[in-house]
Amino acid sequence: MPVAAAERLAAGLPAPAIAALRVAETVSAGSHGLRRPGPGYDFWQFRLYRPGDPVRAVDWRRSARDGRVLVSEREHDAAQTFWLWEDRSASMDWSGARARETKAARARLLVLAAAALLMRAGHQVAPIGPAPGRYRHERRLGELALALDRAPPIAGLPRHLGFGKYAQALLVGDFLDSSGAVEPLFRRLADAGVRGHIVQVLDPAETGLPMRGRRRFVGLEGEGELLVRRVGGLRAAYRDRLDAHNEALRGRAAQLGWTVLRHMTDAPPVSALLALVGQLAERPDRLC
Amino acid sequence: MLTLGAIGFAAPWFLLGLLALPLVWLLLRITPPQPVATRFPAIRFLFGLRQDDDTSERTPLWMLLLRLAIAALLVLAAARPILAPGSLLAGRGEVVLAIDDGWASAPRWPAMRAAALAVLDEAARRGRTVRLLATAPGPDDTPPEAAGPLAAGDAAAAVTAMEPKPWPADRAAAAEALRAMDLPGAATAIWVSDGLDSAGVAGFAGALQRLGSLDVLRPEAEARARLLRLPEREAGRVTVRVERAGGGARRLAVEALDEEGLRVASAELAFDEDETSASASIERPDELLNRIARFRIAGEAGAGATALVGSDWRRRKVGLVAPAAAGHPLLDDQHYLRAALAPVATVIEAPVDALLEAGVGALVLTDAAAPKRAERDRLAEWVEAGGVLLRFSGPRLAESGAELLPAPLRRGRRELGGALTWARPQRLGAFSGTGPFAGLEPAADIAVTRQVLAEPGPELVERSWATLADGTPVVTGARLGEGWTVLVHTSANADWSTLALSGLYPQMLARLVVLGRGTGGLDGPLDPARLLDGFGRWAEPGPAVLPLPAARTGAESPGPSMPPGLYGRPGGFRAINLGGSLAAPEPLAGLPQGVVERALGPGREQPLTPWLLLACLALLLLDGLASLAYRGYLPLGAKAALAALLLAGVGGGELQAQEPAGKIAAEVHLAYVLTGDAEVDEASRAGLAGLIRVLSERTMVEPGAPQPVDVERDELVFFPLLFWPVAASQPPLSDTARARLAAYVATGGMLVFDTRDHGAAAGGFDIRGAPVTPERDRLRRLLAGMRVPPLTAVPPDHVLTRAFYLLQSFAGRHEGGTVWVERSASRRNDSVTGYLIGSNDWAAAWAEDEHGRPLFAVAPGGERQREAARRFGVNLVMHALTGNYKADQVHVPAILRRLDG
Repeated sequence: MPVAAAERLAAGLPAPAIAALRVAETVSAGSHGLRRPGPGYDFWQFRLYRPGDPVRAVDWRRSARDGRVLVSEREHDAAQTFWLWEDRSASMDWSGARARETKAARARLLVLAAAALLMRAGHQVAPIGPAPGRYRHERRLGELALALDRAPPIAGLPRHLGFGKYAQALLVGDFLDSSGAVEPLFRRLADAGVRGHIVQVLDPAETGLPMRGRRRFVGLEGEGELLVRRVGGLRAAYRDRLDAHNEALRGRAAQLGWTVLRHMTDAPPVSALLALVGQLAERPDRLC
Repeated sequence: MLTLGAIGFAAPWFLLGLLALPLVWLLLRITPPQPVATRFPAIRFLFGLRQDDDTSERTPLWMLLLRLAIAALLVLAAARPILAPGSLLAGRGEVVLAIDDGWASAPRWPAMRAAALAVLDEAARRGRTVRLLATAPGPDDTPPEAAGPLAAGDAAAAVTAMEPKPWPADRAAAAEALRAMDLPGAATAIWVSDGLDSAGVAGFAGALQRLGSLDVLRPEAEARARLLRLPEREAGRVTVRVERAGGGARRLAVEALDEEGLRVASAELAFDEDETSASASIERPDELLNRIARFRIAGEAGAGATALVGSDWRRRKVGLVAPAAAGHPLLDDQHYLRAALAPVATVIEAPVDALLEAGVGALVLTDAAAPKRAERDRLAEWVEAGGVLLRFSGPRLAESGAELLPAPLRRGRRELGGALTWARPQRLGAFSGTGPFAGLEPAADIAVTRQVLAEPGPELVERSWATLADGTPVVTGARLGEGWTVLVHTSANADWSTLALSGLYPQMLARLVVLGRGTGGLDGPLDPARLLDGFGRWAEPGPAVLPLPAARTGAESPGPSMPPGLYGRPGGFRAINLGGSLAAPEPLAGLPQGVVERALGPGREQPLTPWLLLACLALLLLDGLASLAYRGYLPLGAKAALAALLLAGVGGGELQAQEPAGKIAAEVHLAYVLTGDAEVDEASRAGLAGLIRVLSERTMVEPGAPQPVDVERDELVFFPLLFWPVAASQPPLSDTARARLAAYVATGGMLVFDTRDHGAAAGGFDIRGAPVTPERDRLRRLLAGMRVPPLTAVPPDHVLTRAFYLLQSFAGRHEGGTVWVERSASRRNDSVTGYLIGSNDWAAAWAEDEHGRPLFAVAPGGERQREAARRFGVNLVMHALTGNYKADQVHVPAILRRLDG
């Protein structure tokens, strides 16, 4: 379901946006899969062993069957990989009003739609996780969604994630946790030289705190509960705190040279997608 | 029991529970209801924020009070409070409960029983034993006897099973029963009385009082039983009388019902303040009155409010002594008598012996059937027992000069206006003001050519009930024992006079045959046939009921051996009624000093526990809703809806009597004009409803519900015909209404007027010989301002006679009234008559209740006549809807012939 919605969303996006994406990537190093052997991840072809080939490149099983020594070549992988990460914590599965979709649903929609756009522009996408698969074709969007489902939380990520050079990452979540929760991921990406794009998906009820009167608030991730006699009295202080938190997030992103995009679930998703595409297509200063 | 003002507590110890209320207050105060849990992801930012008001969490005051009220109500309910606890049983010892269960208890029996049960209830609470005494003799003719000592519960079961008896209470015997009772000590006596006086009241009350103390509960003055006297019947009129033991001004209706319980007539009686007797009369044609089987006071239960009539009331049996040979019908005496008597009596033709055997009330002897000598003695005996012997003159009587005549006759006869006499035929002179013909108008066109003459004597003047213009008697009558002998001094046929041809003849005969008592056939002991119970319903005869002795003086009061009811055999009943023998009811008086009299209130003691629990439940519901709202479970919309629900009254729009115009126009509707007399209007509605059913069953016309029409206000154009029963109370028409009606008729409408007065006693005749009644007078005034075209009695070839059924009579509830229609010279509106005027009360004949049962009795033809009335109704509607369509059918053969040629 989210896949179909994402396809529809991506299909509705204007062609100039995709073109912009493509142009941006041709400028940066190696935008497409180069359709020739070379260093890369995916199998390309077998060829006869030539002197000088590393022994490790010999495909012994294939050679045994054929009677000749064959070397497996991989496709030269210069296409940029976009790494995808989606916050799948319990607090995402919440919506402030019955008619609104949850933050998790909106985040998934945005991730998949962006992935579809990227693949259409010739890039490959991969969920951040151990042994990530690479996805190049839009028809594999469903598999991508399943892979995103299987992605482990940040604490479970392996030490080396194999980010390629000049890779970019799309990080979607509410980023309301204390900075300690996502900081390990940030650091690892930054260490690998990956440029991150943060999309913060928030519910209007979280920014506005529209409840009134007596309320007993219960956290979604076992934070405990809090009885508030008059919610209205806390609203201003709450907003101040939230703003400070968001400012901190923005500051950290700026420090890393990343972008931050805030998206409310009551806004149409296409607006977020358009802004995101604009940011992805932007040539990072660092690479000039 | 603890008593606080008007409220007593049966279990006052529970009130101590109220002391716990402050504790409840404290507990409730510190445990407010939990608010609704709100899941919130960003709760991290809420932790540690300083809240503005740092008062500790408390239950709001209104909720606290609500809950305290619930707790207090529960405690109070547990203490079993009772409103207005009876103080009747203040003393000690046994309780003696006397209950009047005679006929006079029936109207207020539920209240009396409730009062008795309330006393027993209290006795049960106080654990006192009870002696129970019903003051009327039992159905097996045992005198009243005190039962007990009983537990209060057993006594309550006995009281619940008790029913009023159809005979009077015997308080003297009840006093005896009290004296026979042996009580261990002083007792508390309570007498639930019917409020009417009788012999032995003082003794009875004294005996009760001597047991200890006495409280008398009696119904309020308005609710005391009333006694319906046996209605008195005259020709064309019944006088009903109701007696009561005082009270305020009041109106009552007395209904006359026929055998099947259909209402024949009703009369309204008005009591003035403190008046004890009121009467009213019902005027109806004799044939209708003949159908009456019982009278009752409308809306009042009880044998005293019911008066049955026996067969001496109903249709007379008149014997017509058959002569040996019959002649030509128009020369035959019997023919004229048969025709004249048929509407008012059952005519039996047989020899004298057989007639006396059959128990006729009157016997007619024509000249041709002079009694033989052997029969004369039996006839004389029968007359003396109350029979009416009616004789007609003729050649033989004139020659024989027989016995059994009211006056001795001269031999020979007088001839007037014959070929050999000088004198002219004599006209009818006058009716005696004291005889049975009083009030009849002698018609001027009756000529008597021959008569027999009575020997002049001192009594002759008194015995002459009708005389000729020259003063000679033409009808004489004299008492013989209980009965009458009557002689008509001319013949029963048209030989000697034209009396037999005139309309006066049946009227005179009708008055003569009701003179007698109609005794025959009711001799010997009469077995009980249908008896009344205390509530005036039919009941099975009890064990002590004896056959009615022949030598009944009529003065004995009904009792267990002779309850009110009908005695006799099918065909001959004698009625025993309470109203026939009881003395006039008097209010209860003569109670000894020191007796406390109390009104018989509905439910003296009222346990409050159920009400408190109910209030508790309501408050709990309210509390539940309020705390839901407080905790945030109720969204705002639901709150508003709840408030609206609580505030919304049950507002139903006023029911519109008439349906909206669009709906009426969509199908055929029959309409009736509102007369302002609710009874007439209801009869019209029921009548049209019955006719609509008939139409829907038998024809393609399926009209909608009958529509009431106010001619001053409502639109008339939708209705093919307007049924307009004329009531004397109808207000006169305004000019606009007249113009609208004229326009309605001019555009094809049809007005069907029904004066409903055929056969009613007329207040004289107008110059055209039509009787004058209030309804006709009213109709004349209604039509005065409208241009009514010339009318004619329905001609035999009128299309109304064959619009659906082939008819020649237009019967309704009455038969024979002339029906007038427009003279059909004009071809306007397809020859549909714009006006149709009749007097047969059609609506009453059509009227049915919702189960399809006829509402009104139809006379004289019974169900056959009702069918005729329905057929007339079908023809009427067909005529209004199809015009001269059937008249055109007459020409079909001629048209076909022309087509062929």
